[in-house]
Amino acid sequence: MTLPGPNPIVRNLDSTGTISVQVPPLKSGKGPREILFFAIASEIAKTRSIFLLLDENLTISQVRALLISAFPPLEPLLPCCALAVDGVIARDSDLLGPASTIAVLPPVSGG
Amino acid sequence: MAKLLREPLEGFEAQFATPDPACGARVMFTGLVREDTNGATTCALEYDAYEPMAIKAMEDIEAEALKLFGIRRALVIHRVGHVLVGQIGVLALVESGHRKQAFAACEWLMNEVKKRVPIWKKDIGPNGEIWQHPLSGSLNPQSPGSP
Repeated sequence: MTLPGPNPIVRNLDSTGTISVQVPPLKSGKGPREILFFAIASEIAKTRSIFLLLDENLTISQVRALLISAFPPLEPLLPCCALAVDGVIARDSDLLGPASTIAVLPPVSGG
Repeated sequence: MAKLLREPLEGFEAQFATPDPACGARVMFTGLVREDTNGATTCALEYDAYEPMAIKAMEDIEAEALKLFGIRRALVIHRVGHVLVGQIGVLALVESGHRKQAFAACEWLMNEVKKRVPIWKKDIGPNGEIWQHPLSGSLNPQSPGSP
């Protein structure tokens, strides 16, 4: 499986195994970030976790756009989702920085 | 200390009840899986959670409750995984000197858990499965009504 756009998928960590491995040479400030999907986002993305190579100077808004380019079916849901960067809710204007994990969190429904 | 547990919560109520002589009130909320959801039949719920963040959020809520209401103890325990109708999905416990603060704090605890903790439930019924995602109460800082 090859995903569209310039954004390279590193690999799928789902129990079904590897989808693809495509690791370009790393540049300064650009490294693999684990993207976690939960609940309906996980079902739509058809995975719980992937790695994407993302530059630390990206804003969260740009990360959202890249996620949509990698997973077009997420487009209707993603505006309703929070993104947590290393466990902390991020604003769209925040820079990604050196974070290692980005979680896609649909509106919560616990209790 | 907040907990997320995969095993049934039935029987946990007794473990909560450690006597504190300063407390004259103990309020416990037990959230059960209900069979009817807006006219649709539920057989079970499947809870998903971003576990490290969910535990941190529940601990933050417990700590805030102690300060806001002057209570002596606050505890939230939530299930993850498959929970059948009639089984316990969540427990919230508050102990305080007097009942007024205990009732108010317990209700506040549950409201905050529903708004702020990254836990989701999928409704499993005879005709299919559907994730419950409210339109308000999102964690998204860009969305209206977010904390």
